[in-house]
Amino acid sequence: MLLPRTIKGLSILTAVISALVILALGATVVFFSHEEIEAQIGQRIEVEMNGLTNYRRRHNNAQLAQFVQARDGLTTTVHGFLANGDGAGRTMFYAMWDPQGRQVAGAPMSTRPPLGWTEFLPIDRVDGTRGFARALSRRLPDGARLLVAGDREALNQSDDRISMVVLTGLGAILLVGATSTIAFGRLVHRRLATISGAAQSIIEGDYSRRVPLDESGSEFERIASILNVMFARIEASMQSLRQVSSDIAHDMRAPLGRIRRDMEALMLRSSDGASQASMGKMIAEMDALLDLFAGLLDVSEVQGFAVRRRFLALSLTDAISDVVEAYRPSFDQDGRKIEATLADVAIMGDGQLVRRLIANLLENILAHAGANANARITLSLEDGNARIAVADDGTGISPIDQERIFERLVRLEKTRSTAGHGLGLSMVRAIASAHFGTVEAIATEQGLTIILNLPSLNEGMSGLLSKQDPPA
Amino acid sequence: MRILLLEDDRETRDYLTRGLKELGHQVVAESEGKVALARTLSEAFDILVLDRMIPGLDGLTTLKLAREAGCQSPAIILSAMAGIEDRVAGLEGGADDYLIKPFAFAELAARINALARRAPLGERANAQSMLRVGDIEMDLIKRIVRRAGRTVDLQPREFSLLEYLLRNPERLVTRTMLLDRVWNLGFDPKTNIVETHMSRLRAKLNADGESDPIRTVRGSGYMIFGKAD
Repeated sequence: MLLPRTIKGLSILTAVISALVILALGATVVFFSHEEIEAQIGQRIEVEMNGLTNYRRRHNNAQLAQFVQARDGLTTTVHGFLANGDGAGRTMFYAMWDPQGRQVAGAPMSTRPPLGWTEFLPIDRVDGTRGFARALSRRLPDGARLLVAGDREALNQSDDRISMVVLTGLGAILLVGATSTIAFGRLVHRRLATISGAAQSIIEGDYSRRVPLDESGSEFERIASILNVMFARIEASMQSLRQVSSDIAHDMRAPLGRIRRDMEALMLRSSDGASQASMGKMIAEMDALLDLFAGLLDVSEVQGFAVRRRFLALSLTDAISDVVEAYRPSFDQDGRKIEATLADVAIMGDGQLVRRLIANLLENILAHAGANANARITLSLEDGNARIAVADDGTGISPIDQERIFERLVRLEKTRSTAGHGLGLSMVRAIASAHFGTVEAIATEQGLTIILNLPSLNEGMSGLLSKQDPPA
Repeated sequence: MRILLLEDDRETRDYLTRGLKELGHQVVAESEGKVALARTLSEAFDILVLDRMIPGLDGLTTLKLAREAGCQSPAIILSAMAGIEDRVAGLEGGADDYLIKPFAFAELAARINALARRAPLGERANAQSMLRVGDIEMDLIKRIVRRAGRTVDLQPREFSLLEYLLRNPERLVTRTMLLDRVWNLGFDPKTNIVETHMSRLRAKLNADGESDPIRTVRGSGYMIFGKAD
């Protein structure tokens, strides 16, 4: 089926169909009223003709000619049913010819019409205009001819008027249709925008968002409340997932902490250098494990968005520059370069989290981009968004991994041998989402570029924040 | 130093008490918040070391009440609650430091030392405009560093790093303390940013071939000495 799938298409189809229906309706009305009036003209002509031929039976030709002449003159002033509204103009014409073919009555005519009906007889009206008339020509018993004609002008006027009404109606219906279609489209669009906005927030990780309801009881309202139930289920699932991983990580910390404490006590008491060294190694392993749990807990904490309560206006430029300066010696030490081009941009956010985000990205370059990879950070303001691009010219990643690298505990094949837990980029994404932003990885021709978009302060962040639940 | 330790876990309490006593501190160990609070009001302590999660009156509330009652001793909160919000709540609750469990004993000892030093001498130390350790001089107002009369040109972070070391001469300053105080990153970076900055600082301080005043304590941190040994 070639039915349109968009509201726009459906509206256009509806408009075309209703226009066609109106036109067909109009044409039918014009046709039938035309026929009816034409028939009435014909009937009147016949009545007049019959009257005149009856008159001839009782009178001679000269008397008839006189009568016809009078009647022809009379119709110019009389109110006939075919007359114009103001009574001006004549609607009926009469003429008579003697058996020799000479016109003896009526307005002079250049030609004598044939016998019987003539549908379009050219006429000259009294006011000088030309037109056509429906005419009946009859032969009298002595060979004289009588003509009765009715002006078609009335018929044309009636056609014009009906057409005018139909066209006006068509225009009105199209206008109303177009207006309501646009209004309907806007309504649907607006409602769908709020629904898709809420869904988008949830996709970006803000599970607390819901579609606003306006108690209108509309179809949208019903869909919205069903979606809200679904969103609540998603939120509950995500929360329990986070809760479980938090609980595990948390509950593991306590026993690990005790083991660590006892091992440290043992190490400090031991006088044997070799066992001290191996216990030191075990403690270091334990610390790495504790670090992993701490990292997991931090990621779920940031994903919970509670950190937003502490958001303040801060200079993104200063935060990035701090981190770049902190890491510059680490790059220099390996003979690698780090360059930063930073525009002046402020955001609402948490300074420590923003610094951690940048630090994680730089640490990724240091650890995984290859021994000679240089870093290049660009901060710019684009469409009210702070755009941070952290690019390296290292070994890069395969395009298939572009999305995967942001997931928790994901480590790519080539980095398995190096230290780390695969939490750095999950933290980056969690921090970006907490700041109402997005992050994407782009495998470039040379190296990897991470692009962050965070709403900047001049883009009405206060509005976004006010949608959040107030601090408990 | 006189230290009040509030910790409900007996083994940890004993371990910390023993360790701190070995370092020459006088330790009063308590397991209940109420008792600890009463002690802060009647006795003088140089440092309070309070576990946050204890049954009854918890460490943070104990500290708040003690602060309201006028106790000004510097306090370290020990907590297994490692979350970002937990740290903020701890520091906003009146703690001078927040140490996440489990921690290395050396870390606690170093932080106690740094805090104790800041406490009674604190205001004088902050007000003074010159720091001197051995032949290193730091003018905090003009932000100039000299070693044996030679001006040493330092980057802002290197300056802060040296300043923190100079304020704690001959004491262990751990890597995490430096990260907290000098960089204020709020997390533990995987890269050795302290080490790389420290090696630059050393290179600048020892540019004329002088002996290195900063000693690395393996696995823990750094100490600055007036006289190299």
